[in-house]
Amino acid sequence: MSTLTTHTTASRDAHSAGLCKFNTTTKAIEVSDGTNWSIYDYDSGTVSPVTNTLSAVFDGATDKLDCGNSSIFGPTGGLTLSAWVKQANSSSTHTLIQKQNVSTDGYSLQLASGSFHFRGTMTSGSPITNFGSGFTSTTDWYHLCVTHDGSTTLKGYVNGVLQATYTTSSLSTNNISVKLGWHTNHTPSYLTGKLDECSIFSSALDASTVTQIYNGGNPIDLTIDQGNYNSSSDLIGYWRMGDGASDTDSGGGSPASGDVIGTVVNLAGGYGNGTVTGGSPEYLNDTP
Amino acid sequence: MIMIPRKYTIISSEDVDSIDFDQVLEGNESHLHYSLDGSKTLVKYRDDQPSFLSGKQEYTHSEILTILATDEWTPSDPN
Repeated sequence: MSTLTTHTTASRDAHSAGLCKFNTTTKAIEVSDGTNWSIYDYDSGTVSPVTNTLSAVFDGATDKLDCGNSSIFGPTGGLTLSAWVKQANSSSTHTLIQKQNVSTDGYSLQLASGSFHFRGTMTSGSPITNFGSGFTSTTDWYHLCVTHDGSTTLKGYVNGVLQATYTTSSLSTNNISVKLGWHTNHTPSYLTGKLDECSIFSSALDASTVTQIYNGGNPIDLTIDQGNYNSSSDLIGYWRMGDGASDTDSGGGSPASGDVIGTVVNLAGGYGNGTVTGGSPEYLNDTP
Repeated sequence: MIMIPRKYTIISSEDVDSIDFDQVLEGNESHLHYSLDGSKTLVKYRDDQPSFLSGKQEYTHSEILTILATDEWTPSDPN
C-alpha cells in the first residue's frame, strides 16, 4: 500500500493499483485497484447521506406519475434504473419505473410477489428477467437497481449486492413516456407502497458505484460525485419525491407529508418532470 | 405521520360532472380512472364520504383493489 496522502472529493487522482488516499471532504480512505475505488469511511463505510424527508405513497389502485417521453430516456449506449421502495404487501406486482409499449420493448423495474423483476430486453425468450425472490418485507426499504451495458449484459442488484447477471439482446427504444409507480400494460401492477429517490442513468453503472448509491441504506445526492460514485454526468432522470428544491404539492406549494403530489421535478435536467396523471399519490414522511 | 385510510366510491361516468373536486383527492377530471368500457369511474377521499356521493356504496382500500383487479377494470395480462 502506498503512503497515505490527502486529497479532496473534487481532486481525486487517476487510478493506480494500490494508490491509497485520505479524502479530506468525506473523511474516507480510498484505495484504487487500478480500475475501481474501494471506500473505507471512518465510521460506517458510507458517505454523507442526502437530506431526505419525504417519499411518494401510491395506493395501488389509481395513482400515477408520468414523466413524459423525452428521447433522452431511451439511451442506446447503456442504462441503469435505480429506486427505493417500501411495498405495502408482498402479494402483488409493484411497478417502480416503467417505459414500455409492449412487454418486450423499453424497460420496467418491478417487485412482483417478493421477486425482483426487470421487464423488457429478452432473456431466454422471456420478457421477464427474475433476479431473485424473497424480498417480502413490508417494513423495510429495498434499493433495487438494474444495469444494462447497451449490448448483451443485464445485472440486477438489491441493497447494493449483485443478485444475478444475464446475457440479453440490446434494449429496444420506444416513444412511450416514463412512468413512476404504475405500469400501462400488465395486471395488476400499480405500486401499492412508497417510492423514493428514483433515477435513470445513460450508462451501466459498475458494482462499486451501485454499492455507493445504496450507501448502507442511506441515499446520497446523485447530482454530486462523491465516494465511489462518479456517475453524475450520466444521470438523465432523478426524482426525489418531495425533496427536490422545486417539487410541489397539488396546490403549487411546498411539499409536506400528507399533501397530494403536484410536480416532482427531474433534477437531472430541464425535462421529464413527474406530474400526476391519475389518482392522487401523496407525499409522506417515511423515507430510507 | 400515520396515513388516514383512504375510502373509495364508484360512480357512473354520467355523473362525473357532479364531482366536487374540492372534496376528493383527485385534482381534476383528467385524474379519474375509468372501467374498461368507460361506463364507471371512482373517486378517493379521506374521512367521511363527501355529500355529493351520499347514498352510494363506499369501499375500503382492500375492497377497491379487489374490484379493480377484475376484468371490468383491468385488461388480462398477456404474460
